[in-house]
Amino acid sequence: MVDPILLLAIPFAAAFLLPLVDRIETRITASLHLATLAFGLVVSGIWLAKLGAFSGEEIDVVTGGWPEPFGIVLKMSGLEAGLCVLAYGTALFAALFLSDREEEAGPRGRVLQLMILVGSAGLIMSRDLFNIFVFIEITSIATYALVLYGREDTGLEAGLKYMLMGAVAAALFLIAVGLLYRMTGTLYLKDMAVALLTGGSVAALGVLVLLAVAMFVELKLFPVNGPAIDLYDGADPAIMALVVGTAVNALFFAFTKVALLFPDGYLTTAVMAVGMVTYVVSNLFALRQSRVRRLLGYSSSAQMGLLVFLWPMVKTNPQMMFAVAMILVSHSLAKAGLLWLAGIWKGEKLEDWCGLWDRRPGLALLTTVLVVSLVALPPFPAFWGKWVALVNLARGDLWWWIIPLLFGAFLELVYYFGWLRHTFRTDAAPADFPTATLAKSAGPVAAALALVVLGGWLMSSWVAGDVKLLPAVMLMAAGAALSVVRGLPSKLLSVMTLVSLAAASYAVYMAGAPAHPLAPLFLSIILGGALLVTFAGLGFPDGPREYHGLFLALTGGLLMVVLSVSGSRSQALLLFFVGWEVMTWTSTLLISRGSSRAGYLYVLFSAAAGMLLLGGLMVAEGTSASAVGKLASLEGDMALLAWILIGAGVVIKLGGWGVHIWAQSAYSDSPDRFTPFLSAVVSKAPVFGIAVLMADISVDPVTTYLGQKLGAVDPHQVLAWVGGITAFAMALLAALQEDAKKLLAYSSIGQVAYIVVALNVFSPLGWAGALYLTVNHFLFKALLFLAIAGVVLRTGTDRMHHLGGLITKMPVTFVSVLIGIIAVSGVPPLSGFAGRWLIYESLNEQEWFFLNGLLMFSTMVAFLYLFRLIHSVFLGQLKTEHREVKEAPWPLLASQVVLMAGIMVMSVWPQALMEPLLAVLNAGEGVYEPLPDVIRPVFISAAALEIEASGMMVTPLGYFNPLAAMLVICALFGIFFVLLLLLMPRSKWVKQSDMVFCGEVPPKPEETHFAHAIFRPYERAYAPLLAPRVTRFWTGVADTVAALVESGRRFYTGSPQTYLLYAVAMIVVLAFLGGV
Amino acid sequence: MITQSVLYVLTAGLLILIGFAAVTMKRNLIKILLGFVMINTGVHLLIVAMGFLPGRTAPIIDDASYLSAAGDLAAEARHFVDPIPHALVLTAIVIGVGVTALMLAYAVRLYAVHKTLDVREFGKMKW
Repeated sequence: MVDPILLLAIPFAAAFLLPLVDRIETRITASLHLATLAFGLVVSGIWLAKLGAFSGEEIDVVTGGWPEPFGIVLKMSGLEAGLCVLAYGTALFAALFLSDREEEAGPRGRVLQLMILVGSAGLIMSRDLFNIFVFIEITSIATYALVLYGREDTGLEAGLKYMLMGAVAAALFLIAVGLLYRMTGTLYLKDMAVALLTGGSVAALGVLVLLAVAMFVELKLFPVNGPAIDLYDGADPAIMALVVGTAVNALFFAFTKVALLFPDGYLTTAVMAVGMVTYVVSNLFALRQSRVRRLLGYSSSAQMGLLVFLWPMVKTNPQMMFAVAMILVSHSLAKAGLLWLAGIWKGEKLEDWCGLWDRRPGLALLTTVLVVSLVALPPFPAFWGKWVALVNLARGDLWWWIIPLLFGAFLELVYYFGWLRHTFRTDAAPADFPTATLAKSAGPVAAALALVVLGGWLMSSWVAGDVKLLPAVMLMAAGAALSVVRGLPSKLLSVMTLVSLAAASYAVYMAGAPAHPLAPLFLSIILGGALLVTFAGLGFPDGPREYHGLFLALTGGLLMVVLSVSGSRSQALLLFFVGWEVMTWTSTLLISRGSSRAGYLYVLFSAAAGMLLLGGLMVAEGTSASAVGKLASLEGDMALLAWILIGAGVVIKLGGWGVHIWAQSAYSDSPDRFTPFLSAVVSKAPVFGIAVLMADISVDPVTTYLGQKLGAVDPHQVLAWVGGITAFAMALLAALQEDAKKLLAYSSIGQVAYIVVALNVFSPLGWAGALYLTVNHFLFKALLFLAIAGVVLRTGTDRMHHLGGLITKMPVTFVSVLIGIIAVSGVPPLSGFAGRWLIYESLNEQEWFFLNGLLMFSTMVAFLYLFRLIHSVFLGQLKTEHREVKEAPWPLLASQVVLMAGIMVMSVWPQALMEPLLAVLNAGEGVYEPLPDVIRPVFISAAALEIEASGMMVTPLGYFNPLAAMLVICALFGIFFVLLLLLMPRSKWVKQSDMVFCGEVPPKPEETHFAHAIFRPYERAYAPLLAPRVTRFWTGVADTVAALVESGRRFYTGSPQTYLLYAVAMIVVLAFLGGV
Repeated sequence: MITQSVLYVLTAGLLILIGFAAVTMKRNLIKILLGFVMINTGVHLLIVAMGFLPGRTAPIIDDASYLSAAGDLAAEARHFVDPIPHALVLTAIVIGVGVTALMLAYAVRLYAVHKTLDVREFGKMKW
């Protein structure tokens, strides 16, 4: 084996040789440098492979022939090897990146790059307090000098501040070294820890506080992180990328060793608290950053805080080591990659990243991958790390730390996507677009690739051997592959997407019936919807390049949500959340393509929903003793807490009233080819969440103070009311829209709200209605959005009063919309009626009459907007500019025909769906028994619904025969149609423009089109209800947070001397609290 | 009563405090750097004082008779002060010189750019 000491010695020797070699032959300088780095990478890689990252096996590296504690003894284990791989790898790509710069690529620059590596390798391997000091100084000096060489004046200022702060930290560190040596008589950390343990005194605590604050400065924790953040902002990002991959990790590792000295109790808690405060505060301040590099600086600070917070728990819980390692690796790779990208793109401000997706899709893809892995979204490594951390926190006594952790993670998502959204913008794109050379893009590409591979590997190890999950993973992998391929025509990509979806469908089919009884229903909706929407997409002009990859990954995420709970697996909740988050971020990116603002709003609420959901799952993971069936085994208050948290997440995702403001823009501004999927299919994930996760938790009626007045409050009833209010509010809002897509957006949320109501009735009747409506909602919302997409494609607008008379130009689309609105409105003979009818009956059975009344009234309001959709767009006068409009492209029409056929089948032959559904719902406990993590709904009544072979549905309150209804209505329609044809006088055809309007020729279409503001009287009548309270509320929240953050971040005054005083203050406070 | 050790420690503390006052209160970068030099000196003195034991000599074996008494080296070592702090301080001094040199280099570059050494001018980056 190669002696690990060479990892230190070779770069050191090379650093001295380089200037000499440069004198002799300039051309080999670079080769020597790169060869050194490659050598280190290989050696550390070999050690990593030999020792294994987490084996704990250690090798002593004795120097000078003296054993511990007389000589300097270095250690090498899997962790050290892994960190060295990271350090050498980063240094290698950093050297490539910097190779075209005069200053950094000269021998002096290369020497400094190598010296950072020497210091880092030393920090990683040494075990002795004084050596740690020396290597910190070597690393720091090399960093200061490299920044000094940098080309930017801001770097000079930042470097000075950083150095002043570092010098004070070094002095504190050295004082602590001296005093600790005096107290313990050794410099070896292990011996020192033992000595301190036996003779722990107040004086020792005081000294350890000095040491801790010195480390806090180095790790850039709050409040002593000002200079470090300035350094990120001011110094050359390429240099910072090198520092992140080497010195930052090494310093954290040094901290883990120094932390051995901190006794359990006060100091350890204080360290954890400082870490968590840093995580939250830095993420909070990052919210208001307009500069990319400063934002990255705050984020680095936050990530270090998180690591410092987690570290003390490793001692008692080895699983935390995995969490720390994954978060560290992700941060290192992603941050270095993003800094390199910042060096290539040179966008100082967030807005400067406008147009990245349009002009440099490759760079944009890299940025996205790195950001997504940095914010710990699945399937990237940090996600698995965070999950393990959260689960272990939840199971221990320290569970309440989860709250700030989730809050910080939420903030992180918000500001990173706040940056990312600009890359989608097309408005204010800068004039010149830098191109990335191979040497420069190698670093970010390698980082992204490493993250994808590591994440994919972790995911595969988590789903290992589970054939049933394979289709979901397959689709995600196919999505990743499609995002990378370049230069293929869009149509070919669509075909490849179709093939992948077909293959996934086949795999789902072959894997056998999923164990969860409701899964087949949702799987059919997802895969059928994906196939239809992709097929319809063939009719659209070439879309953005990344569309198909993201779409496939989104479908994979949805499949994962459904398949995760289909089986007796202990990781069901984890996999559910994986699918949920993959679904969230891919749909965010897809929406952002249509409108970056809509995407941002979407992610803002989705991130909050995700964190609430995660909190709920953690309650289950933490309190439930059983490996499987965690939700079902929850009891009492914990059950209620989990139910409320999951419920809040789901309601946000559904767009419940009060949190619906994301939904309108997400639906109306997303690309037309995608909206049908978003509305018809993606909205079913939260429905599945209610039907599976929430139904699994048995919550009892709550008797609080309010309960004593009102009687026990059933939480299900509360949620049902949320659904009812949403249904009403959305119907009202939909009626007042002028744009067809916005109208449909509100309508879609309103219709899903009916499902929420019915699922919370908890009777077979209610569930049958809800699930029947789920299928119907999929059919008619896909149909309507596709039809309107065709109209928008042909006319270029969805403003309804700019349209009209399209019935003659787009007859098939007209029929689609006609069928669609009849189905939505819930009148016979189409399928919407049966669903409504079942829901009304279930509510009556439950004696929730007021709620039933509200729902019925909402349905009446829905007539208003549905009428408008067909009237304003297809009837009335054809606009002059639409004379040449053609029917929508055939793939769109074909998909619509399929959906219409589906509605017809559901309308006249509902037993196709209802029979298997009732078999599930009426079977009671038996069907669910062998399944651990799936619904076991405790229905309030026994089977109340029967369906006969003729399709006749019989309930205790009545019956409905869909086929008969259809025949009667068709017959009546036919009779009246024929009568009208016979009795009406022959109509006389006139030219369209042969008209006068109050004696004048109308100049604007709005004036002839009474569809404009058609419901203004209602608007006036409901004015008090329609005040934009919710929007005002959320704007207020946003403004308040912004103001708080704005005043909070003034804390960083920019003066190096203030920052030094913060360090002193921190020592005083920590010592005082510790009772020194 | 003030022993030699206490005197060293007090002096070291005084040096550190004076240095820190200069670092945080002076406006001229050069004076701030001088403050750092004082802090460093104080810290070095403190560490040496940690190894100081009254009545003992420097750990230098200058008398061959020490070596002749084989087997009793440990007893001889009791004549010496602890040598490790000296070794530490030597290293720390070298590092301190390096850092000071680099700080001066920064001062030169900053003066070249800003034409001033007033540290208040170097607080443009903030928040």
